[in-house]
Amino acid sequence: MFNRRNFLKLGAASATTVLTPSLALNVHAATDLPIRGNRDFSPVTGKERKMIPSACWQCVTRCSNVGYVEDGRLVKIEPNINSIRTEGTLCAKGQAAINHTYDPDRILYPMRRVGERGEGKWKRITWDEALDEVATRMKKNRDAGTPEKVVYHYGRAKASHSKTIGGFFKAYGTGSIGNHTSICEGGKWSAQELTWGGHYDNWDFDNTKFVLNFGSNFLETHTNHIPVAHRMLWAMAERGVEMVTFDVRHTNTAAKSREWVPVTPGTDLAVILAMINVVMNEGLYKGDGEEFLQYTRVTEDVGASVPEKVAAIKLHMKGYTPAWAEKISGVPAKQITALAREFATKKPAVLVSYRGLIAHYNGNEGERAAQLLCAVTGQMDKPGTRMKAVGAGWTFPKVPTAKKHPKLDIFDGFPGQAAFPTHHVSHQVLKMIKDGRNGRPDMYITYCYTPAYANGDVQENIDILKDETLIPFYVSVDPFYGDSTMYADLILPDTPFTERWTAEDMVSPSQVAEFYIRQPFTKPMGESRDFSDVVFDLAKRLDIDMGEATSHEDFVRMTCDRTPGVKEAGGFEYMKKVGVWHDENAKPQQQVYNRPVPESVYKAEGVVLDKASGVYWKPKKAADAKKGYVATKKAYKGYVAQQMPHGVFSGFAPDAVNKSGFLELWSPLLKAKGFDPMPTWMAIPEHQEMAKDDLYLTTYKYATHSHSRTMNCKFLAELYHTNPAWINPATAKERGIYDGDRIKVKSATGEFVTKAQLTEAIMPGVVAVSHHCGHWAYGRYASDRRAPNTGSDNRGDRDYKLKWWTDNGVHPNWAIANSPDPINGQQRWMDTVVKVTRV
Amino acid sequence: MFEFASDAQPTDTQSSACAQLSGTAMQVSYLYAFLAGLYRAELSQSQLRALRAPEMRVILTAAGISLDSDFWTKPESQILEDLAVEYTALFLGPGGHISPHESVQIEQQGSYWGDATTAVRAFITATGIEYSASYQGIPDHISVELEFLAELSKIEGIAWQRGDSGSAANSLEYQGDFIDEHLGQWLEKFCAQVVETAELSFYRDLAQVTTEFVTSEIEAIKDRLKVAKTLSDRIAPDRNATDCVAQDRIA
Repeated sequence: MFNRRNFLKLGAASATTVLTPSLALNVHAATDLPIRGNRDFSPVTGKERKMIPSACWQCVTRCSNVGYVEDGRLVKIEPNINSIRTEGTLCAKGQAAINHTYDPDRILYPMRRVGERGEGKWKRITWDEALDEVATRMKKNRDAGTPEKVVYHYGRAKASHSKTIGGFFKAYGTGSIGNHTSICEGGKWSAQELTWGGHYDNWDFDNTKFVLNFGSNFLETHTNHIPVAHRMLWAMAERGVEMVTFDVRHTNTAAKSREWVPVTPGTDLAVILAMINVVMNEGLYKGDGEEFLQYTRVTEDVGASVPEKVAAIKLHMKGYTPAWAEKISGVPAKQITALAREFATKKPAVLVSYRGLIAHYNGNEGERAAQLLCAVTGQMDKPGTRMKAVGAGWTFPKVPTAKKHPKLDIFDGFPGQAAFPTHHVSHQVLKMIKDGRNGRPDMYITYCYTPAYANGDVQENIDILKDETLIPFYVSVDPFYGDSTMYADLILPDTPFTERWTAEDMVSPSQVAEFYIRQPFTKPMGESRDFSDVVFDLAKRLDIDMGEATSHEDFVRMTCDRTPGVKEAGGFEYMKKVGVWHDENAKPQQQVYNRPVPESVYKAEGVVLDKASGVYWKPKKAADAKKGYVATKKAYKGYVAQQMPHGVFSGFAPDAVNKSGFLELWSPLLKAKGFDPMPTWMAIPEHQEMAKDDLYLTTYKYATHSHSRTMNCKFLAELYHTNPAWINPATAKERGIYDGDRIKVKSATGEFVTKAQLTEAIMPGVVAVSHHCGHWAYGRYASDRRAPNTGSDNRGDRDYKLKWWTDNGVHPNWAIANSPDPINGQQRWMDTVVKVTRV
Repeated sequence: MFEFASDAQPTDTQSSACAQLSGTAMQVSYLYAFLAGLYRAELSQSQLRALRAPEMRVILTAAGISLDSDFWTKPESQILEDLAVEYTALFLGPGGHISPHESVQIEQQGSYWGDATTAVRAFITATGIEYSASYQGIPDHISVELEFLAELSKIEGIAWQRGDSGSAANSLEYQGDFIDEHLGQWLEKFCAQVVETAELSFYRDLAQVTTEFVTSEIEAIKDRLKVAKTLSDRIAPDRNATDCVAQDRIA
């Protein structure tokens, strides 16, 4: 029998001159072997193309990639095989990014509006003229003591881009900085911040045995799509891991699952509560659940013992029986019970949740309930479960901020709309500008953001953007002319991401941080400029100190050269060559909550114990200590450790609200705002008043598109360009609708007309329309409708002539209201009630 | 119809023919440069002043550019603004416009920086002419292609001036090839779009004379080449021999 170990010993013994052959090969100074893969050759000349490692930006996943450049032209984009996040995979969107670079509708020069807003009459101006105009307005507001009237509203600005651009505005002195997260998944993050502190959960598919999925279509589209999707497919193929997916649609993720469980929109919460009920009543919490409950808060008393906690959960969940949940959700009680048992016993198991669960009126409670289900089964922050995410912790150079940066209070919704909008309520910003009670901008600057298209209430958004009395000056920073840019007064031509620098930091599914950079494949085309470079110019005009860096490239260089680990690997030069770095000796991060904290730390000078919460913290003032941890503004910043009945631990440290260091599921914060402190059923008001012929409108995303930024990529538009409404044949029949019929979808907000696609892949009573489509100005492939200048831009474009489709789909947001989750402000994409009729 | 002065015939004595052909080539060069300047960017104040000089009106009208009265009568700032807005709408966007780039106009991809872009750049740089570092545009912009032809015909003119019909023939072959492989592939269609779309007579007329001039040059180049070959004792160097092409800068 061959024994490899013993045979290898022979290798060592035979390493003598006598036993080795005379050399036929001449090995030059043994150095680096060529990197395998990530090479490409011109099919015409046979010459090797220049490979440049970089990173994608088609969606927030921001995968590492490489671009091949030939004759100064980007000819192909592929995955970076050295990435531990993607493991050498890249989606269609990422590969089609080349269309962005060479989109003939790209804006290459600064443009100043000369006609009416939205009329489409423009004049090219120089960068000097453009920046002088912006700087003059900024100066005017700074001199007048109203820097907050300069409002910067971004859609995507991450990592070093966030540091430089956001840093610039803070250094100028405005705190009026808006984001877009509430129309994405901000509600999930807020719910996580209320429970386990930081935000973002990683699903450890590499080590799991079972996946319970509430409303995530992550095999098609997700904020960490490729890194997790390919891992799940491996888990299925290699280890036979099974998944059960709750969704109103039979998504491609549901299709790959062992079971698709159709669930009435907005009722996943009821199912999860019932599962907790089963776990508690059947004693499935025993063992791992009990152990984890030590770190979980489910009572007002932070000194409660585990049996007391068990009793409290049982009491709270008493009414949430599977039979009760069946009535609400339509999911059979038996199935709920069986799945609860499976999740609690098939360990380790992952609980996945996304917008199907959280983009509802009760989304915050849905996510909190999901956290509780993980807690009582002990399926949390351990290998194979739902884990606290790990990303790259760069050492960025400091951009000094102004001493004061006041802000217009327009980013968190109207008073009383959202109790804990920790990721803001971006979909209410335009409404608040219209309302005016909290002030209006003098200059509204959008960056990588199309407020007219991306939010609900589309018509209202357009009306506000067009109104010069509400927004006197609108600057759009964008590489492309689009559905919002068309209403701008000034367009600053940004570069597509293929021409930019960034130090990137997205979550790593392996729980080991990956550091990676984006570097330009080619020089910025025309006079387009990366806005994160432009702010350095603006800073000069305004005498603003941007710190040591003089450009974004410089900023990225310093970041790489200063970040421990990356620095030793070779810093910026190494990153330019390889694109990615991770610590090969790092252990995957897990169980951050149960590290004992030494007395020297929690009894250090200035640290006090807040008895009500059990939090050891460092108050800034003595008065704060009296006020108490929960009541003191931003007390969480002074968090040190958590007193638990069995010791003092690192706990689930807070990072956005004054929660304790427990996994906090009895929340004093929510109680103070009038909500039930424990995860509790919340019915969706509009769904309680539905007429017999009303339907639920639900939205979704398709694999080859991001929400609003990819339809101008022709490769992607060809794959998916129209979005008929999914409707169950039974529901259609009741309305006399046949497959392919034109139908009107009408809500209290608006209406749109589309085609009906009859399919059993959606549950009865629901109509589903995807995002992405129905643009009105975003390039020829997205909108067809010509931008307003000459009407002839397509004539030289042979590809455009080959465009075989004429239906560019519809945008559902015309009929969806901008309406927040009352706890976290998340846009309720999935709650709209509509009537559907045949046209 | 655009008319261009008839080129020299080989029946002249050799030196007078060369002098005449040199003059023609230089005229052609100036015209290309003139057109390139008008397509490169919006009209500048100095360009407008030069164009609106009384003596220029006669020349322009004779050349087929009979601009409407607004061009001559509107206040300078107003006409500059009108022309800038028209230039932006026609050639820059944002959004719908008539792209003045070869690769957008002719290629399967219809994109910026297509195969044609690299081919144009390769053609130009192979002659020893380089792109200026300050030029931020894309290599196959119409103004660059016109400027390149201006340089080639200038080289031709200089060759004629010194009686070097071989070098003149060489430059003419380059000119002919470049129009055949590049500018001629898309100019007519491009100009037709501009003529149809332009709201001001300036760009309409400009596009009209551009296409007519370049079309006329196709025949004129052949004629001049015939003369050059007749006069030349030697065979024109092949495409790879660039010794007669001066090092020059473009754009």
